[in-house]
Amino acid sequence: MVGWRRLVATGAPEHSVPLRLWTLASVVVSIMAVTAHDDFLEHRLIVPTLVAAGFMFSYWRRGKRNWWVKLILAALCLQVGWQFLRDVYSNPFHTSVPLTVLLLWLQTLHSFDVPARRDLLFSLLSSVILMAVAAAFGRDMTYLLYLVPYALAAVHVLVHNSWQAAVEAAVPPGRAPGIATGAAAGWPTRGISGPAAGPRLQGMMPAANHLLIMVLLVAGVVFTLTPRYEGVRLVTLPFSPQRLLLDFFAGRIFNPAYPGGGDDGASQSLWNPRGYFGFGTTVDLRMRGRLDETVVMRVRSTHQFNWRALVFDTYTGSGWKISDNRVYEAEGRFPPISLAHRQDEILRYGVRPIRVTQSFFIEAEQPNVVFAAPVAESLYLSTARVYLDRYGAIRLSSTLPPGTVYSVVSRALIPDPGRLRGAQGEIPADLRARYLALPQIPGRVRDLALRLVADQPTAYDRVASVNRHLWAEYRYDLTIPPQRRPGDAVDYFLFEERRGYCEQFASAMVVLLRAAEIPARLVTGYAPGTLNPLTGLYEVRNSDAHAWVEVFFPGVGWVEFEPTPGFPDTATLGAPALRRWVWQDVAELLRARLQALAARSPAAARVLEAASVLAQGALWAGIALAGVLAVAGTRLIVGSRQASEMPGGGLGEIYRRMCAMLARRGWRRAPSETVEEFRQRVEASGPMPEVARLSALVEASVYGQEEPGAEVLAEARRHLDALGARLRKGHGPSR
Amino acid sequence: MPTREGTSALLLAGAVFLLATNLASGLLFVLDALLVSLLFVGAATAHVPLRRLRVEQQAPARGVEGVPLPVEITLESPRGGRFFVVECGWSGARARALVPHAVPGVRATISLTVVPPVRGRFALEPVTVASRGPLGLFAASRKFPANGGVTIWPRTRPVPSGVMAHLIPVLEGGSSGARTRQAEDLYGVRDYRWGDNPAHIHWRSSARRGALVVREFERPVTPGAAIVVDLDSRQSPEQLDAVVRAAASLFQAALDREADVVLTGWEEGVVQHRGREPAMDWLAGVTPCSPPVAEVLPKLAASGRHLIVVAANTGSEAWLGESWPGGSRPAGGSWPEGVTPVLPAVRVAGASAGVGTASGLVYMEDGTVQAW
Repeated sequence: MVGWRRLVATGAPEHSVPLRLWTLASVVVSIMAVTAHDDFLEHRLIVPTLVAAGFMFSYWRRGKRNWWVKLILAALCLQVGWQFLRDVYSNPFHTSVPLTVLLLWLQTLHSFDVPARRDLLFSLLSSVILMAVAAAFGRDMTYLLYLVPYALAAVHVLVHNSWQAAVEAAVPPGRAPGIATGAAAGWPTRGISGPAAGPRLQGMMPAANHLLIMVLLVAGVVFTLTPRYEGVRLVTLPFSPQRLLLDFFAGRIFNPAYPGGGDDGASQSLWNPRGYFGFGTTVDLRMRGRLDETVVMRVRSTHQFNWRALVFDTYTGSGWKISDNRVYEAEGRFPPISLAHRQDEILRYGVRPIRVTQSFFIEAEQPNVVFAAPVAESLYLSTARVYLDRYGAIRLSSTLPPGTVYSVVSRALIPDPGRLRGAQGEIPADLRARYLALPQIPGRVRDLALRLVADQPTAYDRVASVNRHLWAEYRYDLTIPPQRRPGDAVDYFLFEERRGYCEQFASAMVVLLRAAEIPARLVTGYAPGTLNPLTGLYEVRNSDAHAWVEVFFPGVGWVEFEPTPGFPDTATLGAPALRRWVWQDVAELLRARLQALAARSPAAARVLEAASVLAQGALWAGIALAGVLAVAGTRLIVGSRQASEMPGGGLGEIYRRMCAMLARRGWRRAPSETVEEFRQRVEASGPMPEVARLSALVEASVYGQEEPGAEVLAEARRHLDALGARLRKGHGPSR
Repeated sequence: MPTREGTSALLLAGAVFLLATNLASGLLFVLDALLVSLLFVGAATAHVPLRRLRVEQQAPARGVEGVPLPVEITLESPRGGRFFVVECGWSGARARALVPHAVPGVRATISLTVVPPVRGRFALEPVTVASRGPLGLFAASRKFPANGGVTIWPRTRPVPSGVMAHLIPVLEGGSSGARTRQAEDLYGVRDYRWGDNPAHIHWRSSARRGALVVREFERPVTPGAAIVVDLDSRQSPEQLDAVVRAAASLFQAALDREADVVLTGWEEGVVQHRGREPAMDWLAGVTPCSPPVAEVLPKLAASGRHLIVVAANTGSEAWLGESWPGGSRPAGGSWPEGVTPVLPAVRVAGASAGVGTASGLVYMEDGTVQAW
C-alpha cells in the first residue's frame, strides 16, 4: 500500500510558468527536428500540438490527485507499445523508424503528467534523446537550424531550474519554499542588481542568452577537438524499406537523364546538366557541357573512395561502349545480398584488402546501377533482383529514386607502389583480348605511348609515366568547344586540344596504356565528393560525376588510377573518411578546393601560390604577434593583480605615483613585493618617513574596514609632495 | 561536484559520444559537443565566481535565546556571480539566504536572521557560500573563516507580581518600617569645608596641620540581595536551563527596580557578578559543575547579602527547615551555620525552576503561579 502511494504521489508541484514554457519549447523543437525526416512527417503537426496541450493540462492539474490520469496514460502507453511491436514484426530490418515513433508518442503521453520539477527535467532529458535521434537521421545542415533554438531553450530550462533549486536551498527547513520575501529572508539590501525584495528573476533572460553564446562558442571548440574513432557497428546497415519490387529493366541499364540513349551510341544525345551521360551503355566523347551542382547523394563511408558505377571496355574512336552486357541474377528481396563476382573480377589480392562500409542516401534520381567502392561484396537494398555483369558493376531492377537508402560492404584493394612494381605473371588471355584491343588509332598516339613507357622498368612505372604525362602536359577544362574536325577523339585531345574533361583524360590514358600493351579500361562513377565536417557525410554532386582508369596487374588485380589533374589521386583513396580531428577535415576540405581551383585555372594557381607565400609570412608574423601579446598580456595581468591589491580611487593612484617616483631613482617595486617589503627595502638605504607614512596609509586602507576619506587622501598627497621635494633636492638616500 | 542534473548530462554526453562514434555521425558529434560545452560552462560558472569572492561577517557580540539576531554578510566578487546561497551562524543556529546576482566589483550586503535556540557562548562558524551556477550542473562551495563569537543570554520573563511582592523587601534591603540610625565608622580626616559639623573637627590633627580638618565617616550599607544560581552537577541540562532562565528573570526584575542585587554561584569558588552584562554573560555560559547548593551555601552567605536561591535540584532541600509540600521534612533540616536566614532558601517543585519563599509562592517556567 505504501508503495502504491509512493507510485501515485507527486513531488512538490512546480508553479514556475517560465520553467514550464521553456521546457515545452525544448521538447517541441526536438520533436520538430525528428519529424523533419521523411519517415516521420506525418507526426509533425499532431505530436507537438498534443505535447503543448499536455503541458497545459499538467499545469492545470498540478498539485491535485491525478491517479486516474496515470491509469489512462498507462493504458495508452501499452497501446503505443503494442503498435511498436507490430511495426517491428512487419519489417524487422527497420526498427529505427518504429522505435522513434514509439519515443515520440511516449514523450507525448508523458507531457500530460508533469506536475513537479523533476518531471520537467525528465522531459528535458527525453528531448535530448530526441535530438540525438534527429542527428542520427539527419544528413544535412538543416539539423543545425533546430539545434540552436534547442540550445537556447535548454539553457533557459537549466537556468530556471537552477534558480528554483537555489531558492529551495536558501529557505530554512520547515518553511514553505518560494514564499520568503524581503530583507528579513536575507535578500540583499545593497549592491545587488534588480529589486532587493523578493525572489524575482530580473536579468535572467539576458544572462541566459549570454550563457548560450558562451556555450555555443565552447561547443565549437569542443567539436573541433573531439576525437573520432572507428565504431564497432553494433547496428545493421541502413537501407530503405521494401519499395517497388517490379523488374523494369531485366538487367539493362537505364539512365533517367538520357532516356533515349541507345546501346550503339550512334546518335549524340542532347546535353543534360542534371545527369551524367557516362551512366549508360556508351560514353560519347563528343558530349560537351557542364554538370550542375545539385547534390545527388550523400555517402557515409568508413574510407574515401570513388563510387564506381560502370565499366567500359571497348574504345570506338569517338567514345566507349560495354561490349558484354550479359548479366548474372541474384535474388534481392532479403538483404544483405551477397555479390559473387566472376570472370574479369576474379582477383588474386597480393595485399590484404580492407573492409569498406558505405551507406548511400540518394537525393536525386539515379540510374539503375549501384554506386560503391570496388569490389562490392554485400548489398543492403530491398529490390526485386540484382544483376552483376562481368566487370563487377551491379545493375538493379529499377532506378534509384530520391529518398532511397542502401548500404554496401566492399573489400577494397589498396596496393602500394612497391607491391605493384613487383607484380609479375601472365595476363590471362581473355583479359588481353578484351583490354588491349584498340581500333585503328593514329600512329602518333602509339608513338607517344611507346615514348612514355620507354626506359620504364616495370609495368607500374610505365603506367605512372603515362599518368604523370597527362597531369603535367594537359589541362582540365570544362569549357572546351566541340571537336573541330572528325577523327579519333583521343588523338585530337592529345595533340590538338590538349585540354578537356575527365572522359578525355581517362580515355587518353586507357588508349596509351593499351598501346603500350598494358590492360586498362574506363570506369565511370562519382568522385568521393566533398566531406561535410559537421555531418561526416560526403556530399556528392552532379559535377562530381567522373571517369577514371583501372589497370590490370597480374597477381594483384584491377587497380585504379587518376589521370585527370585536380581530382583526388588514387594514392589518397582508401584513407579513413573521417580524420581523427575535425580541424583536419576542414583543412583538407580547403586544400582540396584550392587544389581543384588551381588545376582548373593557371591564373588562380598563381594567385594561390602568392597567397601561400603571404600566408606563410602572415603565419610567422602571427606567431610573433601572439608571443608579444602573450608577454604583454602577462604583464598586464600581473600588473592588474598588483593594482588590485592597491586601494581603489585616489590613494592607489598616489601610491603608484610614489612607486614611479622611486623607480626613477632606482627602487623598482617587484610584482611579488608587498607594500611593507618594499618600504623596508627602500628604507634600508636610509630613513624615508614619507614612504613609511604613505605605506602605512595604504595598508590601513587595504586591510581596514573603511575606504580612505578625504583627510587620508590629503595627507597622502602631502607625503607624496614632500617625498618629491626630498628626492629633487637629492636628500634621499642613494641607491 | 556534479549535481543530479550534471550527472545526467555527463552520462548523456558519454552515451551520445559512443553513439556518434559507432554511427560515424558528425551531427551526433555536434550534439555531443553541445552537451560537453554545457558541462564545461556549468562547471566554470559554478566555481570561478567563488574563486576571488571576499566575504565579511558582522554579527552582534550578544543575543538572547529565542530572539532573532541579525547577522550582516558582505560579499564582493570581482567576477560577479549568480545564485549564491550564503549560510552563516554557529553550532545549532544557522541561517541561509540567497543572493540572486552579485554585481561584479560591487560590495553587496545581506542581512540574515539567526534565531539562537539555546543560550551559550559560541564561536562563529565559517560563512559558507555555495553556488550551483546559473546552469545548475555543478555545485561548488567555499568557506570563509569567521572570527569572533557570540554570547547568547538566557531569555527572561516578567516575574509574577505575587512573587515580586514577597521578594521586594529582600531586594530593597531590611524589613518594612523606618530606617534606624546606625553607627558610623571613622574613615579618615579631611580639610574642613564650609558647612561641616563643627563637632566633627579633629582638633589634634588640625593643630598639627595648622588648618582645620574634620573627621570623615563611612556609612555602613545595609547588604542587598544575592541571587544564588544552583549549579548542582546532578541536575540535567534542562533543569539547569530552567534555573538559569528563572534566575535571569529575577535578576532583570531586580535591576528594573534599581535594587542592589548581585548574581552569584559556585564554580570552584564563589563567583559574583554585578550589572546586567557581566551577569548575563556569566549565565550564558554556566554549566552544572558544583556540589549541592547546601554544601556551598555557607560560603555564598559570607557576603552578608540576603540570599535568594534558585534551584531545581530537589536534593537541595536537605538543609531547609521549612515544611514542604507533601508534608515530608527532610532529615536534619536546619539552616547551615553561617547562613543568615533572612530569606529562607527556596526550592522548586519538580523539574521546573521557581522562585518563592518557604511559605509563599512558586512560579513555574510557564509563568503560572502555584500556592505552596
